[in-house]
Amino acid sequence: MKPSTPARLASLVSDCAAAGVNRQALLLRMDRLPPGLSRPHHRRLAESALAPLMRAPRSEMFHLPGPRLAVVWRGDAEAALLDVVDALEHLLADATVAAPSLRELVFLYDLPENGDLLMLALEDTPVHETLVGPKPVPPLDPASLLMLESALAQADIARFARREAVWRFGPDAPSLAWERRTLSLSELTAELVPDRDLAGDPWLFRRLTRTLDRRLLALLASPGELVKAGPFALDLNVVSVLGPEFLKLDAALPTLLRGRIVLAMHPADVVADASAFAFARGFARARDYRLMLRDATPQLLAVLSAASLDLDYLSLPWSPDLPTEAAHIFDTCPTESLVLECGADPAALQWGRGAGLQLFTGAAADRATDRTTLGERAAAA
Amino acid sequence: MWASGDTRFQGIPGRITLAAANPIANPLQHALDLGLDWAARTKRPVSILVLHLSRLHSPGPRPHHRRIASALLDGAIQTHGGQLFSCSNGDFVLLSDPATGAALVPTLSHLFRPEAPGVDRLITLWSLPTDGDAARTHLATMATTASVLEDLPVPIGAIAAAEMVLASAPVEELVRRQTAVRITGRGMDRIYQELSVSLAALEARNGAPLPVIADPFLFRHLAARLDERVLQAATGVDMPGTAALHLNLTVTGILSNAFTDFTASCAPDVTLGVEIQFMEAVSDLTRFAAARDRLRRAGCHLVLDGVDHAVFSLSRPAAWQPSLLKLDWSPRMATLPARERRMLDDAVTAFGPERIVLHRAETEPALSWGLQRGIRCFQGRHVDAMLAAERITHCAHALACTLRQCIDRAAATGSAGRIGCKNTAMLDAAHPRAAVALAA
Repeated sequence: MKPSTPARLASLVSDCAAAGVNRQALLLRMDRLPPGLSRPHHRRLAESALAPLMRAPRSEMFHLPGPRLAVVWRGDAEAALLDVVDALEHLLADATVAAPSLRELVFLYDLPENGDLLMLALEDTPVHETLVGPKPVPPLDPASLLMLESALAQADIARFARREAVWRFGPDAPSLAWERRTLSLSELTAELVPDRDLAGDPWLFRRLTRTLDRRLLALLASPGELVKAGPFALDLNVVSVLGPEFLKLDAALPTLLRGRIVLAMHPADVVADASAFAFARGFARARDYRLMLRDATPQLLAVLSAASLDLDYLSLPWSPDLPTEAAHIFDTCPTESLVLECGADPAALQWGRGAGLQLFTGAAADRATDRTTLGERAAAA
Repeated sequence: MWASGDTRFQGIPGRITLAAANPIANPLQHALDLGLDWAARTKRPVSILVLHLSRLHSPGPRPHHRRIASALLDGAIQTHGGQLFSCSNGDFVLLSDPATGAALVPTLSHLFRPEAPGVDRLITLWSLPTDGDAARTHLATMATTASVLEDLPVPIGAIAAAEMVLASAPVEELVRRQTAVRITGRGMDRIYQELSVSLAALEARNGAPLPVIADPFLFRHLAARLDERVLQAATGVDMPGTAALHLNLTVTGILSNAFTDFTASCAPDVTLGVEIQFMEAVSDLTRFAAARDRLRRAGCHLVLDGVDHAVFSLSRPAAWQPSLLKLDWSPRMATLPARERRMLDDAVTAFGPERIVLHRAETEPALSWGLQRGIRCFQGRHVDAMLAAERITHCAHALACTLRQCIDRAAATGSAGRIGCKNTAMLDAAHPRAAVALAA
């Protein structure tokens, strides 16, 4: 196999021009993503978002400096392109920071006609990129966090409330297991602090999540909010599970929902005060809640013992490396306790189902079900 | 069954807080009288359950302990009736029918067991009228004046106050050193010296407590600023002879140019260990892996810090192959319930006691606990005192020195902190004379 290097891409473009062969090319400028969206796992997810194009004839992927990714293929791949755009939009919509639009990130070229434009884009120097690229967004700082928390106190938080389905794929048709109730961080950021990267300071961001917890819990406990609610999951900090707002929600929880609510916690929060975590776990169990660990990557579970954590579910973010890294998870955790965050990659769903997993979330899982609209989900609940 | 607000309990509000002004002179006594009266009139027993949250191990009872206990007990009386009394020392008294009281015992025991000295010390259950005298004797002693603070969020402005102190104070006033030792059959080997920003010194400089220290997330944000001062101090510190030096840094600090500059300027015979908080490593495994790689390339030892017994029991830090792990001592570790004790002992064995430093070893029981489990390395105030006692014993100029003075002077990183010592060479003997090989 020929190495998919920049030189190989230049050679391919040149060959197309020389032989008059038609090809299509897509360039993904990950170098234009803000720091909070350009961590290695983001890059892996972006790469997996391009997967549909790799099924096109004579497709080839190029890892380019920057980093940038390019895919070259032959013939019409409109359906695959739509899947890619869908996947990338989903990826950016999930972001905790303000992300550039796809227009700034994705470029299409017809070869050989636009071969020179593609090569020009590849020759773009980092200095030049700094000049023409989006202005870097500074990280959240205490002053902007203070401003954001003040704004949150006044804001109509219901506008930012979102639901994401978690599907159960069993022997029968997929069914809604629960909905993740959350607040859209990207919209909150865009509206309240557009000039700040929320994930730029992870500790101030974690502090912010406590404030968001309180607002979300207050919203859910408001009159009428839970009357027609189906099973749901909340991402909460340990301190929030033990806080007055959660107790109000607990008091307002309809009997039918008792035992069907999942409380998801972040690993850093669990280890920040493990005694409080153990206490919160005991309390949640006493009140018949289910508990989940978020961001349960294989690397995390190598150092945090799933058995000792004693939770009901582990939420696994998908990455193309997961199939080779997940063996030790299956050794210690029953597959019915694993929730796979598929993102938009159909390969995630395919692998997860093959591995015996039952619970899936993300655009790929949504697409694989018959019921994808919010209204239908609500009706299902 | 008793209904909430039942006229049989007229005169006593559903919840009584003894810390507040109350029209009833002695509400617990009144409740007891009421319960006895009810038991006599109905010819049915009445139970009094006392939840002794004031007996929880320090730092208990924490506000969330009280809040959750109150919610559970309140829930019980909402369903089954009864009366709940909240005492200013954190305890709760529930007057209910015997079935309600008894049904709560397993839940409360399970929930508070890890924090309590024992279930029998946590919960007292009396049946009236049989146990009337015992209950009367106990309840008479319960009107205390202790108060429990609420856990309101630390204001974000608290960061600015701490940053101002950090920026203005001289580095030698803020950064302290502390020696860790390995106890052997022959005595104590000094294994490294740690440089870190003293939070007590920060607060002393501020002239008031710094609330930011109480918020784990805001404090981690501040820690990046602490890095600058630690590296500044480490660059200037005089380390005679071969030494092992430990710095407490954030992942960001390790990946910074300042750290590169520092390692480049380090004497080749200095063995450098970098301590990273376990929570920080878990929060971003990708950046932690980069920091770990950088330490490896720089020839530095990785030390996991900030591991308390609860975290240690949940984790398998050996996967990161640190040179050492610092396990924070807490007196609770000596009194854990059987299951938690077994989990902690298993964690010590799995990681390897020879690579554990029992940190914050402030007392003799800390050393005893560690030694019983094969831990030989210790760091903390008790070790400071042992080293100071050793120095004073052998120092010809120590006649006028107190143990406290000797400890403080050894911890100082600047000459101002050593004023009064006539034998600074011996103070410097606290430096490890030879880099003791860290466990592989």
